[in-house]
Amino acid sequence: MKRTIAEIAKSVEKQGVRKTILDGLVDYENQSKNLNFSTFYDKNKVEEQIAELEKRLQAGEDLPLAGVTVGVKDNIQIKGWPTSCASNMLKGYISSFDADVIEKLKVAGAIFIAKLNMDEFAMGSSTEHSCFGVVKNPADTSRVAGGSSGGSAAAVASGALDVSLGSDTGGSIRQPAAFCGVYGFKPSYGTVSRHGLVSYGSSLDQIGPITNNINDIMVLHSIMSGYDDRDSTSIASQYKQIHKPVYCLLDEASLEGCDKDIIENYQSWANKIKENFETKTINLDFLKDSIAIYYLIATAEVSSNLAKFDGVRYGNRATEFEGYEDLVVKSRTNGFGSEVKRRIILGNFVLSAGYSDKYYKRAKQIRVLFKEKLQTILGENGILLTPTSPTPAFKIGENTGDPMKMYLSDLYTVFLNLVGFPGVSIPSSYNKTKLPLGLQFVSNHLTDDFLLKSVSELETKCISGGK
Amino acid sequence: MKNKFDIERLAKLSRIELTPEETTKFQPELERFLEFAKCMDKYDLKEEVADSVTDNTLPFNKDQHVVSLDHHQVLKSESHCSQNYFKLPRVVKK
Repeated sequence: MKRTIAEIAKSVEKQGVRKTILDGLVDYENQSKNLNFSTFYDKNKVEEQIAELEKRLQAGEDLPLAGVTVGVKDNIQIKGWPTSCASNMLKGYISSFDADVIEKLKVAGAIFIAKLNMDEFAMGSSTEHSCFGVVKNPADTSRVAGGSSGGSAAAVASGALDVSLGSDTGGSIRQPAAFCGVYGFKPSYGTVSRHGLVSYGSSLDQIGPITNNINDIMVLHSIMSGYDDRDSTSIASQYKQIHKPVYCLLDEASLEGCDKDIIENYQSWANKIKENFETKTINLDFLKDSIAIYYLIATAEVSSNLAKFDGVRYGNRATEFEGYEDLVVKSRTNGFGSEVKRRIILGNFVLSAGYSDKYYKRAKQIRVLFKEKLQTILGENGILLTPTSPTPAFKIGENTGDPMKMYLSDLYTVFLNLVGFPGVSIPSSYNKTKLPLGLQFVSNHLTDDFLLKSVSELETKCISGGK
Repeated sequence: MKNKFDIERLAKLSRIELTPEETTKFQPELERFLEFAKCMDKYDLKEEVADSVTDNTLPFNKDQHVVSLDHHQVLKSESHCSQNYFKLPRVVKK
């Protein structure tokens, strides 16, 4: 059942919060079994929260998210719940604190239903790298749901949950949202606290919402964002006030390599936008290079962030070992999957003596260049339109044998994490085989409100058939 | 250097053991990526390096005592604990 937050609020008023929540979950277990989007679901925890919510509403608390069923990507901590990051390294680990976003959503009355499946430690673009198995796309179960927030996207797209949280380091909210036909938002870097998010790339990660409509993205973002002194990169979200957008449309060269349906869909939307708004045509010549820069920085950061998983204080510990060093090596070897190992090794190379200046330092310098380029393109009020992904959802197993092919599928998403600007993917259409096609809108840093309001207005004016 | 990507040395640095099959598989994959990363050579660079994508200077934490997590709460779910300590093999040999 697909519902908006506004519809849920009306339902709570009319028939109470318990019935509203249980109505929303009527098909949850079947969907979860078919699509494999859940890593943890406990009816008792749901019941405890419903009881608590009823007390709070009776006490007269204003709870804007009362009745809204929320799924949480399994790398975001909820106190007392498992946080596995879809890895054998953390299978069975129970969180001892709430992430900042969870605290904020609890205050607003949200009810958490499940932890959601993902690529291991958020490394992947298909949710095929999970110790819990692959997540299937609700639009076509022979295809991937995208990644790494595949579980979050599939749960919302199937109607099993109202909204979900994902994390986005290189497109991990936007791409699965596009593949599954839902909305996914990566906020400006620093505006949503990373306290309680298990780190992948600390200068790239952001938590964001996945929903069935743009208004719910706005509601959730307004609740989740805000300064948190527990995250040293957190900034107070003082969004710049801008009114009239200029849409930046890609030239032909910037669409090279995309699937034919993706290009046709893009051109169709570009034409509608030209009829209704001011536009300019631009070239993004750094897109392909941004993939190299992203993977150099992300793997360097993750090799450091995952060094803490050593089998000593938490997580998987090897059962047979000789001495401390062997304990650490065997725990990590048994705990991590192949994609994680690949990225840790690359990251350690990038940071190693004799190579860190050539690769890591240079990548960070180029990152500055990309940010300046994009700022120049966008100016004060520019909104860039790109496909979210060069292809629709691919078949399960199609890309797992070729990591480079998988990395290249991040063509339109990784640059945004490098520069820290906000981006939202919307479901724009379907191809001939009914696979969802996503479009991404990007604006300057700290223009999140402007971006979301503009996209909402644009949708109203330019909505295409097939949605 | 004939082979700059010494995967066995890097696996040791990463504290991960690779199987022979993984070593055979990873070596060409990672070398292919490094070939792809040569695209960086064409850029004319400034000295400036972005450690943070925002314009903010990352703040130091205040030098003050703050309440941390409850030890009992944190340790109770861990099986390798005894009397508030994590148990592990001797690090410094006798």
